[in-house]
Order: sequence, then C-alpha cells, then structure tokens
Amino acid sequence: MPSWLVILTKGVLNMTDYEKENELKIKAIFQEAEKLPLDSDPFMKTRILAELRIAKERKRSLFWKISAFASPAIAVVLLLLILFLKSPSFNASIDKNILVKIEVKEMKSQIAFAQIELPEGVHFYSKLYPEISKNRTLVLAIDDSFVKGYIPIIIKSEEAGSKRLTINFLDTNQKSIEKRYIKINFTNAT
Amino acid sequence: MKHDDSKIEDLVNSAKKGDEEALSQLIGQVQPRLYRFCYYLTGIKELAEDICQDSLVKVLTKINSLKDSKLFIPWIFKAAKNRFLDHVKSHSVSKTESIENQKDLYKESDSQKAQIITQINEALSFLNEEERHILLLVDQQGYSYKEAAEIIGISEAALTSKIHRIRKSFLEKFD
Repeated sequence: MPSWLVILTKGVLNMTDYEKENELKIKAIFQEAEKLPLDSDPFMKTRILAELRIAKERKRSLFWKISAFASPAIAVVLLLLILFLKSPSFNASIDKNILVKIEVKEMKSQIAFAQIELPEGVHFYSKLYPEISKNRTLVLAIDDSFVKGYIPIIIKSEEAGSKRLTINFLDTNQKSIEKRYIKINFTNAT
Repeated sequence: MKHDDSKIEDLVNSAKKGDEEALSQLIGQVQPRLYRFCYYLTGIKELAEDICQDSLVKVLTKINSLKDSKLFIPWIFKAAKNRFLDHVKSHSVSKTESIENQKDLYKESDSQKAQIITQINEALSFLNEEERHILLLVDQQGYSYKEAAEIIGISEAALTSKIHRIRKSFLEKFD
C-alpha cells in the first residue's frame, strides 16, 4: 500500500467498521488520482459543438421539409372546412318529402345547367316521373322557365344524419363554372 | 468526492435558452469530469473519448426536454453508461488490451504519480461493468447509494448489498 494511503487512512484503521475503512481508502485513492491531469483530445469540445450545430441544422431543415409537404394539405383541409361551414344548413325529417329550392336568380350568365348530386341514403322524388328516385344525379337546364329565380327539387332521406347535396353549375360545354353545397340535417320524425 | 454542481445548473438553464456561450462553458465544465469517469470505466483512451463525446452530444441535443437542471449531471452519466453498455454488447473489450493501453498513456509522464491511474484501471479491470459503475459513481463521483442506484437502474438495496464486496475486491487488486 502506498505511504500516502497509509497516512490518509491511519485515523480509521482502528475502526471496527471494516467496510467504512475500505470506503475511505478508495475515496482517498480517487482523490489522489484526481490531482493528476487526465487530458482528453483537445479538439473534443470543438467536435461536440460542431455536431450540435449539425444536429440543429438537420432539425431545422426537417421542419421546413415537413412544412413544405404539409402546407398544401393544410390549405386544402382549411378550404374544404371553409366551404363546408359556408354551405347553408337546414333541418328536415327522414322519410318525408322535402322541397329544396336552389337559387339561380343572380347566377352568372354563361351557366346553362345545374347538376345535382345526392349523398347516400337520399333520393329524388317526383309524382310525374317516379323513375328519377333511382338517379343519384340530375341535370337540369336553366332557362327562363325558372321565373321565380330558383330550381325546385323534392328529395327524401331514409337515413338520419347530416347529408350534403352538391350542385355543380355548368356552361353550355358542360364545363364546371361554380359549385355549391347544401347541408341538410335529417332527424327521425317525431 | 461530491462536486458542486450549482454553476453547472446555471449554465444548463442558460444553454436551454439558446445561450451559445453558456453551452460552450457547460461542455468545458462537464467534459473533463465525464472523460475521467469514462476513462476509468473503459480503460481505453480512444473509447473513453468516443463515449464521452457521444454522450454529451446526445444529451445536449435534447437539453430542452430536461425539466430539472439538477438532473443534468446524472443524465450525462446515465447516457455514458448506456453508451458503454452498447459498446460492450457489440465488441468485447479484453482486460489485457485495456491494461496495456493505460500503461502506454503515462509512459513519458511523471511515472510514480501516474502509477496510481494505471493501478486504478488495473484494479477496475477485474470488476464487471456494473461493479465498475457502482464503484465509480459512489466513490469517485461521490453520489449517494440512492442516486447511484437511480443512474444505474437498480434498487438501492441491491446496490448496498454489492458495494462492500466490490470495494473489497477493488482494494485486493489495487494493493
């Protein structure tokens, strides 16, 4: 045992606690060793800082990459949300014929047709043309006959829930000019 | 030997706010201490440097997730321990290799004084990884049994039951 260690632990040699003595000896050994320099690579700090900088850059570029990919998707979602919220909403009972008036009073002059698309569970109704109940889509020509400024259609829903009608306004070449949505909340009739 | 970590805590708080100077000072404060720990742990200079560097990079990259700056130093030691265990799993470090390596380290320096580091590493090389961790955290770093047990990931009771035997075998090889 080195002489410095004997001196350091001399005070505890007569202690009954053998384990405590060992603890003090080891702590003294490490304290003695601590006085000696133990130099690592002098450039380690520089390397660590450089790696941290790279990691930061990587994180930043990843954020922008994600943003670049996510932005169009977020924009589409927002647009759909706005359109959805903007569309008029009505309440109706299921299994009952309801009249829907699609306004055409202030429509663009080039609009020639209105294509009406029904959601699942909703059907058209006509006393004169009962076969249209099988259609999911109906295209109506817009002319001066709609004197009151709206297209009247009758629909019926078999299911409760929120349903959305899509009205696509087309020009004479069947090109879409404008789209409109009508939301109807169907509930069980009381 | 328990270190005063209050300055380190202040530096951690500043580094978290993005203070580059504080980050640089923090590395300067922690690196020598961690390197010494890693060197005792591995007995190989290059490996100790790798573990020290990787652990610091890993922890400092995630420094903003640290809620209590008092936990920074234990976190660093835990990261170093995990990094070392990963290394042990993928490579087998032979005791002879590590002892030879330490001898070279102090060949040209004050041999009598430097002898102690060689002796420490020789004695440590007879302990397994967990035993080395326990001894270094408690007797070299000055952690309480409870703190060291938390860093290593064992119960305080398990650590207490092992430490006396570990100290005894270390001293037998050191003498």
